[in-house]
Amino acid sequence: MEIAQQQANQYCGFKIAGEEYAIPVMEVQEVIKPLQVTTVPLAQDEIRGLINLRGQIVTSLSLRKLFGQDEQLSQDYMNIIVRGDDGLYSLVVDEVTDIIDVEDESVERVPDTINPRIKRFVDRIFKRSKGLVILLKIDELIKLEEKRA
Amino acid sequence: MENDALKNEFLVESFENLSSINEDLTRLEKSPDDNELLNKIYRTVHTMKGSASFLGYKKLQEITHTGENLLDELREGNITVTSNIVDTLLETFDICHSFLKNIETTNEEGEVETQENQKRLEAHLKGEAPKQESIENKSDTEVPASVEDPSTEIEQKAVSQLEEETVDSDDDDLDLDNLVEAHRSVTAKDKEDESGQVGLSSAALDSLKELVSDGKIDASAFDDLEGDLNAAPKVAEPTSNDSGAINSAAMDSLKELISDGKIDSSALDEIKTVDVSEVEQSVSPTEVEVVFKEEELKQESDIQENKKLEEVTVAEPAINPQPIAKKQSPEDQSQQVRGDEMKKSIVDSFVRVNVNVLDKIMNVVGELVLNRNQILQYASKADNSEFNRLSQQLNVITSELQSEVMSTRMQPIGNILTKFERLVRDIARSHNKKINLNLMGSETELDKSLLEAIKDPLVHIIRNSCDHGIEDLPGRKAAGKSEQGTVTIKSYNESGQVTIEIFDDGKGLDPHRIGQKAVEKGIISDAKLAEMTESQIINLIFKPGFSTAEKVTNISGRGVGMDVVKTNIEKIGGTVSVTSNLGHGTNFKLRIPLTLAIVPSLMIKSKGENFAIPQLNLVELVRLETTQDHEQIETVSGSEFLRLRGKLTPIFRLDKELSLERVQQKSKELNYSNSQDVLGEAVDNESPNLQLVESDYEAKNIVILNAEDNVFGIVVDEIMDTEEIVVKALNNKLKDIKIFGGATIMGDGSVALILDAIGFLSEVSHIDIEKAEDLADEANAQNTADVFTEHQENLLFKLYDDRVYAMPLTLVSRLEEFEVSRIEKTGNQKIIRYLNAPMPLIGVEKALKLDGKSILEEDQLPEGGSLSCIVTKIRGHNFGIIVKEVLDISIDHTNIDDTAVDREGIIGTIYIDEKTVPLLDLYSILAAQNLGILKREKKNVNMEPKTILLVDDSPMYRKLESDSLREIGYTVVTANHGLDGFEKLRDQDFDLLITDIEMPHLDGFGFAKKVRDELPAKKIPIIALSTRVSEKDLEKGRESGFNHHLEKFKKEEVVDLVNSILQGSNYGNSSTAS
Repeated sequence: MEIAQQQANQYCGFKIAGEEYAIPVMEVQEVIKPLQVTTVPLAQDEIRGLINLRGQIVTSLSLRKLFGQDEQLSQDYMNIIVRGDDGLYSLVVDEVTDIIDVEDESVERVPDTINPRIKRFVDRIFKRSKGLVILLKIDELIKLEEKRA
Repeated sequence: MENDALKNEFLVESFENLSSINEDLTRLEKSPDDNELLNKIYRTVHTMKGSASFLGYKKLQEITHTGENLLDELREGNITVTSNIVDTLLETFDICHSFLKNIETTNEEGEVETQENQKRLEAHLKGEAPKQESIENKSDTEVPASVEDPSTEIEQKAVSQLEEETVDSDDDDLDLDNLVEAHRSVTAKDKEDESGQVGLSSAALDSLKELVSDGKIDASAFDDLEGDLNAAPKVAEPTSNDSGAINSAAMDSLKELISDGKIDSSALDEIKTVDVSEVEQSVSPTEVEVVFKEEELKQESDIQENKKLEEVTVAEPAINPQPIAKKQSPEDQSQQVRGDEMKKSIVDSFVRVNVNVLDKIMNVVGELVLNRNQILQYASKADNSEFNRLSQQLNVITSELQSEVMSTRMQPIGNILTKFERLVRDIARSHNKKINLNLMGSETELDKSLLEAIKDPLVHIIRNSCDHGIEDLPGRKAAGKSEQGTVTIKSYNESGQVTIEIFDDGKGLDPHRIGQKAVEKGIISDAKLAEMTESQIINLIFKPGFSTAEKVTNISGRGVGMDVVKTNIEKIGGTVSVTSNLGHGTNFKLRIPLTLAIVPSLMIKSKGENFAIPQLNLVELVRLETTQDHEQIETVSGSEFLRLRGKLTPIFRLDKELSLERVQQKSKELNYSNSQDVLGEAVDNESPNLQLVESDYEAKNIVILNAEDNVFGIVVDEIMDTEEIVVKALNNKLKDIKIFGGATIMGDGSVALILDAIGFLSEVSHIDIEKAEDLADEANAQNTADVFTEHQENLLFKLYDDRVYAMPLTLVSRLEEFEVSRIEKTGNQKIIRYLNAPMPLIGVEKALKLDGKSILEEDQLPEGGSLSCIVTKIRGHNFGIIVKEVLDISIDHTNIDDTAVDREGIIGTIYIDEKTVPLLDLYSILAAQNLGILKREKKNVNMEPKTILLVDDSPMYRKLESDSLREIGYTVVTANHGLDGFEKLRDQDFDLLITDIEMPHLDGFGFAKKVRDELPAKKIPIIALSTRVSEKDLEKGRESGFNHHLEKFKKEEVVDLVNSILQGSNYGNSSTAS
């Protein structure tokens, strides 16, 4: 019980365009290196394509694109594999930082001034000595967005 | 019947529960304080009671209820667990078992003695310990107690059965059930009881006889009697145990008691110790038989003789369940047989598995298949024979595993079909119709998920058939049909798919009405309707917004149209079509893939990206190589069309439609960074494609697909292999791109998208597909107006004068290469063994008086090598025409020009590739060859002089046909088109009319119609010939008045048919298409 409780407060931290974000560690299946991507024609911008993860088809999502940033073709991006209701997703991030222990007392609500582009993905903000970590809602990240023209 | 599935479920569950209860009860006996165990038993019994009451099995419910009460008391601790109580409970569940068996075999609970057990249960409940001697003492079967013992019991059992028969003789089923049931327990325990040779006690027999002849037993006494008689063995048993002989006195007293009807069953309870099942246990089959036979004799003088005999015959073979079925009435029989099959299948050989588990296994196996593919690919590259061998082994095992796992998901179609019996019955009753549902091939298996998916569409179709198809009683009478209509559902496997046909013998679909409706509802235009064939019109019922029901009934026509059926069937990769014969019935045909998970697909490449196209949608592959080929692509209003055999087919460029240039760029960027380590090879392999420059003159590959009867083409860069791919679903983010039906993993581990033909068409055709079709139709119409001949296919080849010649492709049966060494000689004629017969080889150069010499001439024949040979079949004989080189097949729409014929053996010239090519006249060439077989043939032709009118607009066919008909001795008059033919027919008498269909001025259909309408007195047989004969053409032809309709190039058939019509039946089989 205690371990689960502990894990519930652990977040997997990663960086996108210099900012630090995190998602609950319980939701992460694994973190993998880049794999070959098959591009899906006519798909939304943020969908990089499909990758083959040991026989499973994984939809690769560029968080940079999702957050309205330019795709950075860095050599060593990382895939964070999470499980959605309709299959596996790979969140493509610049780098994975660390496992962060989030203490409830240091957590704050989302400020209204936050970048509207990412607002709907943000759960809470975690303040720590080294700086802010934006805690994200996975469901929102992989939710089907109303189709943009 | 619809409860079958539910009932089976219940049986499987209950049998399982019973065995666990038995086990648990025995454990409980050892540890009476185990409350957990007690609770478990209680819950299980409770479940069983619930299910039984839900399904309306009253007796079962009752006894389980009492059992449950007792268990509840035990649970509450009001009563303590004793061996006696456990015995009683075990007994209770044995009774439940008997009930279940009855239900399994006869669908009904049947009669099982429960009173005694009930009473004991109640006694326990009241806290009394019933005065029972422990069962162990009684049923001690190891002690070969008394040989008489069983016999007594048997007799008593038999007496009881017969009592039932006598008293309750109206209720045959009940008796039958009992007897069968008695027999079952008997045979089941047969092996334990070796004392099969026990003789009958005469006293017992006497009592039996008396009993039966005593017709006075009244029905009200029956219940008591039954109980008493069952109790009888328990009276007899202890006695015989003591004395070792049957106590006939006891029997007599019993008999008296019984015939008096005064017996007090509660009193007898006191001495009842052995329960019914134990009685049965000691009964041996032979004895039952003997008793019944005796009884049969005895009954001969009885008034109820017939009745008895019937019952006894039924009872007698009960010894062996198989024969019993044969003697029973058909209804019983089917039930019985099914019951017997089920008995084994349900209880013994089934394990219940959650479908989710199967799905999971299926997925894992799918992954294993992918993994195997990768290993195989790797192994083929690696130079390691052992590894190769192992990977092949893996291949075989995986394939086997795959097919086995697939089979776990397969279920007989009958599972859903049987429930339609109720549906049909209900509709029939509410509409005052008589409808018989006929199921064929219900054992055909289909993937479970597919089975679910086709259920609703099937319901809809069947409703339609019953509601709109089958006429009501007066309607059927008026149509001269039998009162009872039939709806047949026939399922079968066909070319890797399951076909389900639903046909009725109702009134059929009226194309006229459907057409009108469709126009009314604005589904099609009047003009378009006029062009449509009947079957096209009938298929309009699948269009959205179409409902044929003239009045909306509660059964069909509730706005849910056939279009939903079509959509649902197509969603699972199936197709649906309908044919109908007005006044005779309608036939729906569903084609369903066996499974969805693994799909044979064609792999294609465009701009370096791989795609899979399911073969289900694949029609053909077209490759355009030469400049001239590319001229087959035409542009109409900005859309591209391929002229495919004269018909314009819309084509789309995959790269353009999917913006693959951009995709390619993106792929390159995304995969660039890691190409060094992860991808390496894959990227390198693709690079040559990057250099592809689009050019109109580059070879083009076009994949022709069929989506919902829309035929269209996709231009791709490269066509690769076909592969069995495992379909993986795309997630929601990608699902709204309808072009893709899923993704798959290829042998090299990369992911490929699966193109969905229907989705592609709906998404990609920016112009409405209907519009595209209209455009194509328009263009096609224009095209035909210009030329007005069907295309002609000619084989182009070079002779030894190095010039190009042509011959009609219809005359070519095969192209062969023969080794020179195989050529033999008879006289001057070169021959070769071909298809087990000598075939003359012919060099046409001489016949044509050409400059070049045939290679067949002695000095020209090379030592080795091989010769190209065109095999042609004329009048049943093969001839090999030796040519220098076979070049190509030309398709052209130009007419043969016969103005420039300069020599024998040439029909005329055709214009191909801006060159004039002479077309060979094979008949005259062969005639000039002086061949024995042909001469003989000619002599044999000995027929009545008959005159044939041959109408064809193509001079070549006119010549070919008339030549071949004249060859066999007919007089042939030719005409150029329908009007010409009509005039000739009006002025002269003919014995037979042979007409082409596609002709200027008046086509074959119109011509035949005109002949039938305006010259009805002529009653001339009409044979129609066309290049392609489709179902709708046949239909149209029949309406127009064709007697026969054949494909043009089937020369042999045509000749046979002509002979059979003109010379009577002694000429070969006419394989008519009518």
